[in-house]
Amino acid sequence: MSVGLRGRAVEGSIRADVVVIGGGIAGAAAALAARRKGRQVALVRRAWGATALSAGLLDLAPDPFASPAQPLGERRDVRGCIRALALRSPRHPWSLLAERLERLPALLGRAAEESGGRLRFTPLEAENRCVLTPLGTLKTSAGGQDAVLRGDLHHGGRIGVVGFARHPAWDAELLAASLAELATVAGLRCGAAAVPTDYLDRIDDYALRPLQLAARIEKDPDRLVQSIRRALPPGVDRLLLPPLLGTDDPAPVLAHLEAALGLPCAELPAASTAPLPGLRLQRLLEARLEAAGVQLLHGEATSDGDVAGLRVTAPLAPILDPSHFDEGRATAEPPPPPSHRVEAVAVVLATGRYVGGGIRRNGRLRESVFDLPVAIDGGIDPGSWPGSLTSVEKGGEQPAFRAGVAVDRQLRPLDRDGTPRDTRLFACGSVLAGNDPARDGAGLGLSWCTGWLAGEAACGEGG
Amino acid sequence: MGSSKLGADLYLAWRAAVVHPLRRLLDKEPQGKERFLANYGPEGLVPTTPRDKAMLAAAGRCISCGLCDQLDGQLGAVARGEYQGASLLPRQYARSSVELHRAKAAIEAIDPAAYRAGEAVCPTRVPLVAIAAWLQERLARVLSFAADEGRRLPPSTGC
Repeated sequence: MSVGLRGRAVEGSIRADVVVIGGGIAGAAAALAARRKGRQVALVRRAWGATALSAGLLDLAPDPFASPAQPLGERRDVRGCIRALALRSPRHPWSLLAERLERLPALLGRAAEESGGRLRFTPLEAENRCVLTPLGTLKTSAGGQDAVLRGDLHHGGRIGVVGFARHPAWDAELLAASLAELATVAGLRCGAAAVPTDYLDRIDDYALRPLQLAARIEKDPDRLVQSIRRALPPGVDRLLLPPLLGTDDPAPVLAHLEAALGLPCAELPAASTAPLPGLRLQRLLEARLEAAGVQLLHGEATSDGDVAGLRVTAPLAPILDPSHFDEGRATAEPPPPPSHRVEAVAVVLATGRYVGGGIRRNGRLRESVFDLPVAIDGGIDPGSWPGSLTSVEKGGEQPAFRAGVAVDRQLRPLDRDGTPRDTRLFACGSVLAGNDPARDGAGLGLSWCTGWLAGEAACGEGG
Repeated sequence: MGSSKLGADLYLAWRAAVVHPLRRLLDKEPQGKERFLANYGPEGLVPTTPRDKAMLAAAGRCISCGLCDQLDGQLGAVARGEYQGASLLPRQYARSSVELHRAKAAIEAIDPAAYRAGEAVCPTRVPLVAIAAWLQERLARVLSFAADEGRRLPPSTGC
């Protein structure tokens, strides 16, 4: 995998119809939506963020009655799950967009289309897909990358969980045991069998990084086929493999394995031990943005508070250049990096929350580009938030996870007085207040939808 | 009891007012920073400069997300047992100068410029290129203090 951040560093002023700040899935959706409307679009981002670290799933809302004792809840359809979440949390973005939920199939269809089929969603009339995670838990999601959704446990049958002996992160026995237990609890008609392969045969193979493993498998998938054959117990109907089937698009390796083994194959979603699906999603979006003619820029945005005052700087200020130190002592304050003006008809804020850097806490919570007020449960941080923003209790309240920018129904960020800060400014994705991805279970799917709607709104449409 | 305390106080006063000032004047032993280096340099504990502090603060921004590891041009160029990815630079190698020599094989083999791609995608903007160059310079400082004293640091054990 050689391609990192695409585009070039900001070198001068930016002029575009729509400027998107943030390069995760929400920013990408906004930029693609605006391009579809024929606008000139520039996308400025500091670096990669939460999308590149995601599991490869695009979840919209979980079943409202899901619990450890009943992982699939009442098995409601996806539309019902979204409505339940909107009803339960009146400040959730789904609640704000309740009148536009009929557009959801079209928005999700755009995701599938723009990704060339690598992203797909279950129909809103069907229940969420359910996949096994590398941590041995179940995860439901309405959409995601094709290679991961192929592992939907609703397909049933006896599932072989492929692991690598010698590698602590991919213990086939442990994962298969977890799957067997969880499938029984969830009422899924599937069995589980461990397929502990000898694919990693060198004593130091445990030290291979996910990228190296993926490159090795991509180069010689037959070696993996042979090691699976040696470990495959009889009666297995399908296989779940670590998300290491190639560095970019896993489809060719999956097709090779399926043809050679005669079994349907799928990848597990990403984990900290193998983050490739999130990385692939990020790279897929960047490739698509580039192909669509979006100007991709690497830089940092700042503003006086409104779209007219928006400026961008090149990404890395030379604060650590050795020339600023004489025998280890600081000699001079480095000059500030030059900032450049942005001239745009509309701006979409898609900077994410804490990982993306859209929301920062330095004494008080603040939005990092326009210094918009940060809201939690309808309240605005007055300087220091009363009470704790986080809890160590399992299932405890985590107000910090719901912190973000409050918006109106047109996705325009609101000021302290409840009016839009700037009628040319729109926000989407994780920077929006009200969605706690851990508790609410609405993640990248919600980000894609709000991103697309914000992109359309920036073109003067929708709402 | 009273006379022994008086005796002790007089002895301390004698040491403070006469013996120590004379020793400082006549003694050829190095003082201050030189003495610190003579004592601790061979163990790899070198003075922390303002640049070191700036680098440590920058390294402290790492959130261990591992994105830089996915774009690490050094993987494969350095022996697998010695080096396991770019994120080790801010997370592990930058932590302690005392242990830095253990990563000698990796730090001397890396090319700082190879971290540009990883640095560009870092969500918290950890300056990997600058940190890599600084680690090489810091390691050289550690090794030179040890060499000046004619002492050998424990061998590298991989990391």
